[in-house]
Amino acid sequence: MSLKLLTQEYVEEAQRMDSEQRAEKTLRPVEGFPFWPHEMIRNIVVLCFFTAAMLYVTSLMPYYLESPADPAGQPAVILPDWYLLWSYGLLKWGNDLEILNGPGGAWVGEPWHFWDREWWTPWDMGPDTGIVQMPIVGPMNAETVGLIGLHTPLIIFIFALPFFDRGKAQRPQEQPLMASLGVFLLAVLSTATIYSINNVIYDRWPVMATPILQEQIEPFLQFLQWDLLSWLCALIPVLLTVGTYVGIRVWRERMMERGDRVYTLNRNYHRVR
Amino acid sequence: MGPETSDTMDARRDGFTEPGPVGRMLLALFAWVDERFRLRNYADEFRHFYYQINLELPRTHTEKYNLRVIWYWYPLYTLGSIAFLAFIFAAISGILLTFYYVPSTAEATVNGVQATEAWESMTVIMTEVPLGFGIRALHFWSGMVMVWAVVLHMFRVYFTQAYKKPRELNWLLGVVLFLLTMGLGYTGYILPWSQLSYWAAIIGLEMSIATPILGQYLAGLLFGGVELGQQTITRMYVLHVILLPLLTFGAAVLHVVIVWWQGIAEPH
Ligand code: HEM
Repeated sequence: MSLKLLTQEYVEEAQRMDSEQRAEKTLRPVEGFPFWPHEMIRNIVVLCFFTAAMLYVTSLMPYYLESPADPAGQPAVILPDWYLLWSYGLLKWGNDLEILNGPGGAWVGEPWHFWDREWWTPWDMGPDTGIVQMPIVGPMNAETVGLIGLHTPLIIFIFALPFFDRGKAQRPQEQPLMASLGVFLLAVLSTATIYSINNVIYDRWPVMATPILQEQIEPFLQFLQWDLLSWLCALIPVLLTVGTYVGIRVWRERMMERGDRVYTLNRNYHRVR
Repeated sequence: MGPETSDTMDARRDGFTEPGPVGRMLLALFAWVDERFRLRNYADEFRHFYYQINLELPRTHTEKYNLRVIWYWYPLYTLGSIAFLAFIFAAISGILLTFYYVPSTAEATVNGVQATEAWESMTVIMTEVPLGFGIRALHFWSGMVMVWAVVLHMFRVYFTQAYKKPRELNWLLGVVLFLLTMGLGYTGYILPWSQLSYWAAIIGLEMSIATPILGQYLAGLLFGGVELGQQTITRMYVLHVILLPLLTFGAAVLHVVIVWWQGIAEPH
């Protein structure tokens, strides 16, 4: 069969399929904005701009090469790359915060394994804290507190998110709780990032190391003898979260009172869905 | 872009009678391959699949209620594409870098400084290879941009709640992509075997050892033992150059295909 005939056959075949499908009405509508070509066509503009910006930045700013590794000379500051600092910060929290390590670090130490004698006889061998030790827990390695204790809830939250947050709402305004949880996540990751370079911060801004409210707090809550930096890292996420929640609620009330047109439409639309 | 109905789509496809010169060439090419591999069966199925998807354009909230507003969060919807493009840039420049990089901790002296062959090959890239510093810069910046884009993309998906039904599995795939991106960054950071690389590897090694029960095995698997050495750099090299990029590419393509399949969660 010649190429020409074959080509012609393809064209006819395509036409036949088209009309057949139209007659069959097997086409199903989708719930979503089409990715191709509608989304991609407008993305292409941004992508061209991005490519240009990339080449521009690259030609202006080459990346430096550090001095070679010296296993004997540990540098004063060791840091992972910036996008892993949050993880390093969680490790440091696990190490530094007495609230996680028990009074005087009583809950951490050499880890017990279930094949160790200590695992089975905690009342006998455990540290003298006056707190009854659950045999299942056992003292943990301080690194484990940050590694397992602080990373796991985060990862579980992110993985499980679509399975516990259901429903049709799609805008932060419709679900103030989820919106403020997102803000909390963002803020905690940011403050963990900041805390991970705490020695640099103490060095440059010694005021950050000032102990806060020691006399007032010490008699009641020993484990809260934090410095300014720790208090900021703990309070900023909470403030932002509460602020987001209250802010959205207040904004919604106000919109409702005013009978805002867009707000009403959105609400009706939400009901229709 | 006005509202599109199934009528206008049909009209466009009715016009598909005579392909242009390029179309004719492509068809001829296709026919040539088809004569050998009988691709037509699959092509028909693929075309059927393609037309089933996204045929009827939904009307957005804006259109439905005739609102005169634009979706001002729109730029955030390009972040996924930016992450993908940055990955492609990093892959191309990375392939060029592997031509010159030597994953070895054998001793080498560069201008009287004690170093390793890995670090020496970095100096070669930076000073001798034509435009080597530029290729490295492109690799570095595309990596940085990719991480930023992925993180911001994740938060855009979170705040527009695009992870809900029917997109749950795509969110999970996205989390995997996020972890892969972090892994790519970490393993790449080790490769030059500079001061920072070395001590970052030490942190990673200590973290894996601190993992309960599995610690020793994890350190052995990822770092080739409880001490840093040639095994470490070999494993990081294989992870950074072969394993993680392949996984990331595969997962990213699947992720985007699923987005194409399901459509973008309707902005409204
Ligand atoms: C290498 C990394 C990634 C690439 C290349 C990528 C690519 C894309 C692209 C091109 C889209 C289309 C819409 C858009 O651009 O916003 C998209 C949507 C989506 N992405 Fe990603 N993504 C990546 C990482 C992630 C991560 C880390 C998550 C979440 C944990 C995620 C979850 C989603 C979801 C749920 C959608 C559907 C959103 C919608 O329909 O509106 N992706 N992705």
